[in-house]
Amino acid sequence: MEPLLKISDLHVGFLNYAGVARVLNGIDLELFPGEFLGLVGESGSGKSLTANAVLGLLPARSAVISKGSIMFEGKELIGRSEKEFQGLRGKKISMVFQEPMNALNPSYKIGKQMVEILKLHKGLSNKEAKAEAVRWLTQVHIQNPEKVVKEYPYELSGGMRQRVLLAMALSCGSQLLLADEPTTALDVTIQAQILRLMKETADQLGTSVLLITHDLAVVAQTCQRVAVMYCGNIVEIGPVTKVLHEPCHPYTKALLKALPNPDHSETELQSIPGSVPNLLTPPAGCRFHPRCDLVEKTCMELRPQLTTVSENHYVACWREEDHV
Amino acid sequence: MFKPLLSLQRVGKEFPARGSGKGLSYKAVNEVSLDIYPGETVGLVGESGCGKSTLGYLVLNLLDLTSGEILFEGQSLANLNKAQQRALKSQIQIVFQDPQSSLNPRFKIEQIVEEPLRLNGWRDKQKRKERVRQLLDKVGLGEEYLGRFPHELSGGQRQRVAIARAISLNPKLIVLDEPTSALDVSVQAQILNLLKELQRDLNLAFLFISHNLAVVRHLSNKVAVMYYGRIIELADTNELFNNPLHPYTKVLLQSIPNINPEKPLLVELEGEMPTPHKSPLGCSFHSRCSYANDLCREAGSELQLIKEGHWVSCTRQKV
Repeated sequence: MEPLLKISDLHVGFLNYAGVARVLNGIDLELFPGEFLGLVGESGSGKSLTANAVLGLLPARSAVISKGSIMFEGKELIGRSEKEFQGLRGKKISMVFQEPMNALNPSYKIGKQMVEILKLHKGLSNKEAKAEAVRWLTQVHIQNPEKVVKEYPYELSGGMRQRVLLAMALSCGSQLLLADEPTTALDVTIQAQILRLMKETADQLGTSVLLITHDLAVVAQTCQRVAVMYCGNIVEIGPVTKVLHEPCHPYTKALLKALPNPDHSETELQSIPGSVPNLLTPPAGCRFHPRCDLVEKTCMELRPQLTTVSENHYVACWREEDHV
Repeated sequence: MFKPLLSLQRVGKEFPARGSGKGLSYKAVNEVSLDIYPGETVGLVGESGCGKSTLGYLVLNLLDLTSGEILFEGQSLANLNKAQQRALKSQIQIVFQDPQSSLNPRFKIEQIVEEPLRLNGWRDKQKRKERVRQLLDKVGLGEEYLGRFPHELSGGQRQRVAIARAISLNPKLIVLDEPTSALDVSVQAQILNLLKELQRDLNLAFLFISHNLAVVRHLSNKVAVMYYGRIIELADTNELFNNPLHPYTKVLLQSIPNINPEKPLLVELEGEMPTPHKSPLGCSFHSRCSYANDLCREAGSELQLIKEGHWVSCTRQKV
């Protein structure tokens, strides 16, 4: 099957007063039609940046894409003009953000914001677009959609706002949905509602979803495959069952051990020693080596590439064969 | 028998409503009773808007009570004079969710940790400095951090500074208001371990406010579940997680995504919490409860003791 989105060897750096921070260091990622792919990692690992790069949302002044390609439906996205991106955003590729209050315009009514994109991308008339907006709000299980279109974002609860954003993201028939921490700002009960809704609607429409989150449990519940990022690299990628239950990379293992388990409480959580390195002067070789227990000489000198462990399961670690 | 360190007795807090509900008031905290014993951790969980942070502020005496009474070591928090209040504040401290906004960006770490000491009678500068070093060491930060500003630290390090400041005056109780929500899991694990260690060493009691049930389970001895301003269930941690009785607690526990994909999210809660302006009659959870009957809609239930150490407020539970 042809991947819908194929990112290969993507390098992104940020220029600042002290030099170049190499925030994405050769990302390889494929997303297939209708698939849910989780992208997990700690803050600063480059998850959101990857999504922003796909949508052409990197700050033009400071961000430099030094290498790599992003293919969407077989066409290159890097180097496209702002105008071309505008035709893509919201129409073919949409994004849902973490904080729905910041993603909605506080001074426009919900209906107006929805109608705006429907008119722009689908060329509907005002009346048609209004009807379509109401239909989409029903689709995301909003009660009283006729009333909600006349309300302002502040009048809705967090869960409702996230539903509206999801409706807006899907209403123009996007094939790819980039969901950046869509449930992090929500309570667990509402999170469960939104995750189910996302899965249900995306399955129904055949939309592919790149779900960015720091919550491994959310990924376990929604995605088929997961990619683990550390410091601008993908260190492990594979089916959810494999990566979360038979993790191969020391970082993935450490991350899973640091997670408090709701089913039973151990006495001590294992934390990862040290902290995320400064990206202006990233460690040579494997970027995780200063915090890794299994470090050896090769790790400090050469960068490991993703290699196959089992079917569809890849890991970037020199010591991989030692602990399978 | 131990005496409780802190005892909340039918505590209530009303806020005047604004906008369309003008003239009305809504109850952010409603008839809450809770005891915290020395050296124990009480977890307080609930969704946003259920009143858990308000309860924390009431304990800190940052808000005035509308009804009820709070006793700290047997002494009421109301009607204290300035000096008594100050003495009390050194006994009850808080760590906030976001250390970025709870630390003064213009102060160096040394000044931040030193400030409570300076304000509470530590006149000797040399001794103060010595104490600051000792405190930072306790939370795992070296001397090199003394001269830094908060923006030069990572989120986890900033939270360590906030904790050092909170323990500077040897408090007996610390209110932890979502102390790890803004942190990554690996850092969260570090902070949780640090808190456990400090609790052991200093015999601290914690009121641990969080919406993250896994974290609450990890740290707490006792857990209180709040919904719409009331405590609806209260039990020892293992009892609550293994044998939840209130329907809300049950769905709350089932809504936690599990790392094991074979354990899918089963039940989920429809709808959202009622708005504060139109508080429902009877049990506040009846509009979302699948077992609601006429009794729930009209009367609801008080918090009652079902068995040893397990309290629940639900009409379906008979004593």
